[in-house]
Amino acid sequence: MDIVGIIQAITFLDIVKLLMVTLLGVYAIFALLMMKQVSAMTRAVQMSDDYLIRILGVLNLGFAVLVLLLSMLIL
Amino acid sequence: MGEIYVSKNKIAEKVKAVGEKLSVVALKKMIEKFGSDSLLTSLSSFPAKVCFETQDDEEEVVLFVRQHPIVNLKWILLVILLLSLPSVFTFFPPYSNLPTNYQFVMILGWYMLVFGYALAKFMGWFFNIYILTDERIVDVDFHNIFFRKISTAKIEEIQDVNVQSSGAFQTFFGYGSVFVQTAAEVSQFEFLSVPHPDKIGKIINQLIDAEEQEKLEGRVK
Repeated sequence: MDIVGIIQAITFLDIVKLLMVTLLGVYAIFALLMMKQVSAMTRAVQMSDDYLIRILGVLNLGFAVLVLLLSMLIL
Repeated sequence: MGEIYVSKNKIAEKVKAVGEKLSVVALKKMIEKFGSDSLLTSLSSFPAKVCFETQDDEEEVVLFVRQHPIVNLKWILLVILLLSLPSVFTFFPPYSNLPTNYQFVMILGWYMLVFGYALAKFMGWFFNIYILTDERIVDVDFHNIFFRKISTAKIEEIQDVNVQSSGAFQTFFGYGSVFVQTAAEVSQFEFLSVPHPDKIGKIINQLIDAEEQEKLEGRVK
């Protein structure tokens, strides 16, 4: 298939899918950085029950990875 | 002769250590215990479970300060608005024309982004901390997810303390700012939107007085 044929085969839904997966991938990296930053900050200043905020960071990353995988599977 | 010299040194060290402990006891007498030790506290004196990376063994945390919780109101309202937005999505043709699985992932992604925004904002408040110890002042700045800065200055380097509370909102909710001028590398420490700024200013002045007293008695580290 030539390049023109490939371009013509791209649908609106393909573009939406690509955009969504890219955005969710970038967000997963952002969530990972956020978790690292939380871990660094809780090391720098230790407070009572600060594991709760670390759990929030991990939950955010878990949620981001889950949605990314889900988008790749069902779209 | 050598032994006598060593024992004299030991005595001096013991006297110094006892003196340092006494200064903390004196501070505890001077500054009353207030605020809770909970995770989300914004003002607490002598917090039980707060310590920081560069803290010395003998160093005691006198005051733990965060911005007043009311500063979070703006982003909390925005998050509530953003959470209710998916109900409006259906009115936009590009979204309503998408297949159901696309709509599902889009809604899920939207809630995730809003959660991420809320978490980043919360962390900005939670990790923006000011700590006063019996020896120094520590400012932990956490402006956003990619920027953090920890500045310190010795109590003896503090030159001037200014307390400022302006506007109806700040007066009503009892918060304001404390500006501390120092002779350290960081010339000004800004405690922005903190609760009870007068109380904090008073405690800083008490710490300066205690440090001067220590200097006079020759107990400075």
